[in-house]
Amino acid sequence: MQVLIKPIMIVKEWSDEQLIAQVARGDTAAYEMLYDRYCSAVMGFALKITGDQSLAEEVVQETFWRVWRKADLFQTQRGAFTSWFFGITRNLSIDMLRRQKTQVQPVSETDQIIEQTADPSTDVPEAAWLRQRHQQMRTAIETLPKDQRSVIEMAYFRGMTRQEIAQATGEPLGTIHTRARLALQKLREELQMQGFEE
Amino acid sequence: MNEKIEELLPFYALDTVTESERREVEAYVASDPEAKRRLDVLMRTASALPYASEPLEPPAALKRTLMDRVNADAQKRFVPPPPAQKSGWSRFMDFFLSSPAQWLPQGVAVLSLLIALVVGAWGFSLRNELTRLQAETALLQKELADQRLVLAQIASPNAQTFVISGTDHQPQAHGQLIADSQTGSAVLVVSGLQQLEAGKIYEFWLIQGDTPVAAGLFEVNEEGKAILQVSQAVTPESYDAIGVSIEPEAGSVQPTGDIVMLGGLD
Repeated sequence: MQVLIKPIMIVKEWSDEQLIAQVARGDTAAYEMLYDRYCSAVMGFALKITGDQSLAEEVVQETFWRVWRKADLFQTQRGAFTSWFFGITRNLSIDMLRRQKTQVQPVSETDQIIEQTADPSTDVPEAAWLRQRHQQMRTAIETLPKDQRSVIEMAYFRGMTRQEIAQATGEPLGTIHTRARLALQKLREELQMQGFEE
Repeated sequence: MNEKIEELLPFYALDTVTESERREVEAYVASDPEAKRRLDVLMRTASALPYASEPLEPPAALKRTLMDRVNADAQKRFVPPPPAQKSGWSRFMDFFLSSPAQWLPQGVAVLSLLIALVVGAWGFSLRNELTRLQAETALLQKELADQRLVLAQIASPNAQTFVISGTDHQPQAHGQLIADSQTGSAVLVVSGLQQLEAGKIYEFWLIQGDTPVAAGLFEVNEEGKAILQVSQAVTPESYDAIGVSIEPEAGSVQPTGDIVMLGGLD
């Protein structure tokens, strides 16, 4: 069988930090590039937390609006752009979740319910890059013991404090501390093994 | 080491501490570089957690609404800079307009010559620019068509993913083959590969038993990444494994160079 292959390079001419610096100067083209790069990651992340598509869309809108309005507040020396950016998404999603008191759906159910549709304007190499990171992270999370995974789920994706987690699980606070620490250590090891780029 | 605060570090990284706990942690790591390093490691790991969510394209209308809002705001907040002081050219023109008798005879000749030179050079430059833009447009149109095709597959609910990893030759390399189980189309996504010397190229192989089938040539970008679209059916049942080797730039019928990546299709 003859198989034809067309190479498509992953081009990332502008780093996130370069783009956000341009956005801070009012560059809407740079802003649109950031949107195209991360909109589906933000949408998926917000949906996982809120469990509601319309709430997730509101989070996407508000996250990117804040990126536009507050781009000049982002400081490279304080961490990567994605930490800042996903921090905004997470806070908005958890706030919205608390306000709406919506029941969170497990990610696997959410994935089945929502049918993905391809936007013809989507940047394919960026989409493939994002999908690769998703697969790596998902594989790493699946290696965690269930009790460690659930601590991460409750703390990070539901915004529960360690005391709330201890109360919800009926475990001593010390056990919750240990599970959180071991979970992050194990995740790091797994991500490194898979070549996940930080 | 303060055990009580050390216990808070993972929760600080997961962003679930109270305001007073946050201040405690920040004061602690400010005075202990080792603790700061430990916290940074935890924070880098936690910052990857959003990728655990399945990426999902938001509606196109959302982007349009957002961009309208942003463009309107940009016009208000980022006013174009005021015109600079009069340029040398403006001052030159002022002189010409104010005292024509002084420059008219020689000026006409010089100006004619200048206009001829400028128009000639401009025409030449325009022709070059037009040729370049035509070539660029054709290339972009082809890339766009390719990318739309690939995207449809990546977004397919029937997509299956197979891991391909670096061998001892390039252990840092890693990637995935994303194959659509219904249509048989497939995309290979690789990263961490080294850039090759001139005259060499990477070749992708589909392997059935002991028989490798040449499946295409590719180069990687400066970051060691590439995406390859397989345009004919590749179902996991047809092949047992996949691999990447280094070959002469024209490619080979069988692998002749180092096998740098391997993966199974089961």
